[in-house]
Amino acid sequence: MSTDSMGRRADNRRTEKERGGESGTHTGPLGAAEPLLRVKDLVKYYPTERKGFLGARRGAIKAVDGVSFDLRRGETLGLVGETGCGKSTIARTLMRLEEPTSGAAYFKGRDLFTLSKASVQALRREIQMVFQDPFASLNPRMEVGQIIAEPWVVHPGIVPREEQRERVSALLERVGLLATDAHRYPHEFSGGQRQRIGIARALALQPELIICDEPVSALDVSVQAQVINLLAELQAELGLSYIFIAHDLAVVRQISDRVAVMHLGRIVEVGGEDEIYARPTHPYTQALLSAAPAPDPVGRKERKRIVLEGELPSPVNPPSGCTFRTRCWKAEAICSQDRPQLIDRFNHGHPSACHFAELQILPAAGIA
Amino acid sequence: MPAPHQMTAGDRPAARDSGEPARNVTVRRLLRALWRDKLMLFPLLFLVALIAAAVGADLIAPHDPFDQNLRSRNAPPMASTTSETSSFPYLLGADPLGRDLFSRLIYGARVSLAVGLSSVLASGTLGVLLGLMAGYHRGWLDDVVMRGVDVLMGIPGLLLALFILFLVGTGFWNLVIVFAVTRWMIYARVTRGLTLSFREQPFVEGAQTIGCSDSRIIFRHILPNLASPILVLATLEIAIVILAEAGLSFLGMGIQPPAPTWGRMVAEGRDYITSAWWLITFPGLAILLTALSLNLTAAWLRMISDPVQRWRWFIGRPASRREADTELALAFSEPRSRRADTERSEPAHRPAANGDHLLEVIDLRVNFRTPDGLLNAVNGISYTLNRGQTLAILGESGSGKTVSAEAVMGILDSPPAFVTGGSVLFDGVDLLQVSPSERRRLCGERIAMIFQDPLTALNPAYTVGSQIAGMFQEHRGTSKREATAKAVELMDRVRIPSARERAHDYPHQFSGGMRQRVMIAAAIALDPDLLIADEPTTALDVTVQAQIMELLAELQSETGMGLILITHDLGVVADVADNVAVMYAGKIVETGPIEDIYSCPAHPYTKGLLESAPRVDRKMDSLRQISGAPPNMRFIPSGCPFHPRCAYVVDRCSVEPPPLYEVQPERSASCHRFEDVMYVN
Repeated sequence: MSTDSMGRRADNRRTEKERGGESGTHTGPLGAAEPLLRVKDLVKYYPTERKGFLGARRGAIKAVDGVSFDLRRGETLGLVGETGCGKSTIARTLMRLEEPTSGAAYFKGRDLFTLSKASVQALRREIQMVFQDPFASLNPRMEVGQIIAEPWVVHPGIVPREEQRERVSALLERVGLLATDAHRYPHEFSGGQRQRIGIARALALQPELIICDEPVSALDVSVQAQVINLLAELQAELGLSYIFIAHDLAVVRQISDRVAVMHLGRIVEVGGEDEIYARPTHPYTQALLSAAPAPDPVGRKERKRIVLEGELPSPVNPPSGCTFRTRCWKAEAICSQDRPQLIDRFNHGHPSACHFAELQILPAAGIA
Repeated sequence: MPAPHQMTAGDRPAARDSGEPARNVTVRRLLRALWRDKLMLFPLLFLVALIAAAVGADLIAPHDPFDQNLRSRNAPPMASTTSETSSFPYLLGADPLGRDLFSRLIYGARVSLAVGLSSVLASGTLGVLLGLMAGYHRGWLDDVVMRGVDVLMGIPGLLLALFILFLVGTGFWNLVIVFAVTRWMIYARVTRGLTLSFREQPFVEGAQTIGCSDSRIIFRHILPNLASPILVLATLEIAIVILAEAGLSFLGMGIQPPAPTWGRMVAEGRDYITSAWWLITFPGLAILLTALSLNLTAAWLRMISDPVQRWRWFIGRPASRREADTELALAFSEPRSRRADTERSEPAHRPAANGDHLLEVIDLRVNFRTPDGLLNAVNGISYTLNRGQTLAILGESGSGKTVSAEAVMGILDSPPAFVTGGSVLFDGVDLLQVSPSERRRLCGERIAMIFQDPLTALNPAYTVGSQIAGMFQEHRGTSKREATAKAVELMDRVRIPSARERAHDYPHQFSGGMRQRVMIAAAIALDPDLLIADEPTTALDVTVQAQIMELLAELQSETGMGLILITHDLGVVADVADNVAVMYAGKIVETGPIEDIYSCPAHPYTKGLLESAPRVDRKMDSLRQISGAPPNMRFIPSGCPFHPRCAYVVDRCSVEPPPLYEVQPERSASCHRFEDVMYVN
């Protein structure tokens, strides 16, 4: 995927220049080998201790428990996992909506978590977010045009006031709405249209990275494809990088270049989309994929399905060793003693965290 | 791929086509609400007149309010004047010093309104600011503000006001300060609560992610959203302050004489209550009417700004109005003759005496009567289900899939929902014709339902064991001990681990998947013939979903019950259903055996859904997409409801609603061009 500024659209190039000239934060293109974002040992615990009378009850919800990953320029990394696996918490700490407990996240070589308040402000321009709930993520009392132009009010100097109206129109049209929609309020739009507005606002600052937290899971099935396609088009056009968070395995496969499967605050397997979906090695990934129903009734009787027994353990008191062992059919004594490391076990370039990782070749569906 | 422009062409509901500027919408909505509630004109007009009188007192008042005329002491209403300055009669009489009561009332309005508005402005600003800060920043500031609120709420306001006035002395501005000090916590409490909930809203977090400062978030994003509840509160508070000021003036602690205030006019008239009734009556009436008008206005503002209140009000309306709506409903639905045609072509519509179907739904129609008008949620659907079969009703939000199931089950929220036509034959008995008690018996024992969110469907105050056991006690008269034993047995059967112990737990102690198992245990307790599962796994994780679907399939093969599965998930349908009915805009657009429909859909909507769904087992270059969005049920497109989004649309589609054509034996689809959809690409 083209990531240099030549491949970007003309208007994007213009602000690239403005950005470098005006704030001086832009350090120029990085080496191709260096990832855009490198997250190292990210930990986020939510303390559950109670102050007040009867003393403190110590404990913590281990929402994210040592997560590391790289995101390359122009790439989409899918984060997939079940409720409470910590995928949204990663998004919130990267956006500095929550303070991490420990760890580092190097965006273009600078650690997001140690930046000063002013630098965080500058950083907001380069990392943006698209939220899950299209109904709650737009201020109901603001016109759509105001919503999209607000980033320019907060960061003066990016788009001069007299050009804002024009740029709002351009953004609206780019995401598939009408320029006249700028004067309407969010409640006048359907869910899919609101998500387009949210995307337009995220694009307003011309970020390099957009974190999408379940951007289509609240949308109707027939509208999901529109938003997924739009995100893909924008990426090809603007050279964006995405972190795409979702619980829907099929949606994640469609949009992602690489996928990280999370379980109870840890990444259990990470690799290219085709690697994870066609050659999973971690039993949890295999169980997830086998549980995901395909829209294909033919041969459903013969289909073998791994149905996990038991329940998802609590993140307050996760199992020792491998957190998946309580539901795993392969678990042995070692699994409760040794936390398996996330390492490449088959020289496929896709590491997995299981002592008994085993390559499973899944058949691809026939091409329609 | 179509250009992004056309992509959303069908995406906008009709309401959006009115080209009016958005700012006028609020005003228009207010006027329309006023038109609906014409009685509200009285309090509003009274308040407008009061404000006009207070502002223009110098022009309106026929006499100088301070002009004493001892010859007209306690002159009765309409007495001709003896004053030299004005020849206007004493409209409402004169007071013991011969001053014109009417003029004094008008000048009194000026004082009352000035005190009311200034005090509310002062206390409101103080309270809202403190509430915003406390709610947004929390921490110690919140503690300090809220403890202050607690303390002040515990002290009787009037006593506190008297005490402060005693210290600082009386006078207009002192009164305003007193009211600001004694009333701010009302606003602070409400504002803080709302701010707490708003700061967790994604749109506030969105403002943070684009880099808005705290003050910008508070004043630009949170405050505008508090405007309507605070406005309502402030209106109520004006009435309270006016009453309180009257009370203080009555006690001699308000505005000092000779300035006329309503409260002191009442106090002064007290001594003449037998000889000059008008002295106390008219100021009293003025206080009463003003407070009443303000309260009514506040209640009305709350009603039109809060949709929930509006619904409550609407539902409470007398029946005669609803009858008119029913006629409207019939007028809106299709002409009867055409409906009859449609029915004839439906393969599902066979004589009821057939009897081999477990459930036969014929031309079921459900309407919602809403404050905004009539909404046709289900527009004549028909389907059949046999024992041991699984029928999936597939549709998006608003397609009417849940409403139609609730109508079958007899648990529609009525009002606002009403079954307006059709029949539901369960084992040959029309559930819509039998008496409510008979229906309850049938539905309770032989039809069961499970819901998407088991936490709201289970009673949080009872153990799950007793809730399952209740099924036996109520319907079978089983003893408590026996019922409990059976409940444990059932929990075992739905594979809840250590069922005997867990029977004594409460619903919140179970995980989502386990709660759904509890629901299923309760549902199958009485061996129902029919189980309706409404999105049973939508709230669950995919691994748990697999467990639940497997359990349902297993139970079905054991008991031979019929299963109606309502879902939007194409994958779940593909896994378990024998037949599928695809719903769109309140109609079944395609129905038939699952394999046939998935391999060769006959309706463009079904086809679009299948092609646009991303898949786990392969990645596509880009997804085929259906343009537009599902229609707003208030503005269902003419003809075929899918035509604005349809790739196969021809002229006739927007005019002529397609009947359910029989496209293959046992299969039907309501598309004029089903052959093209099926066989031409």
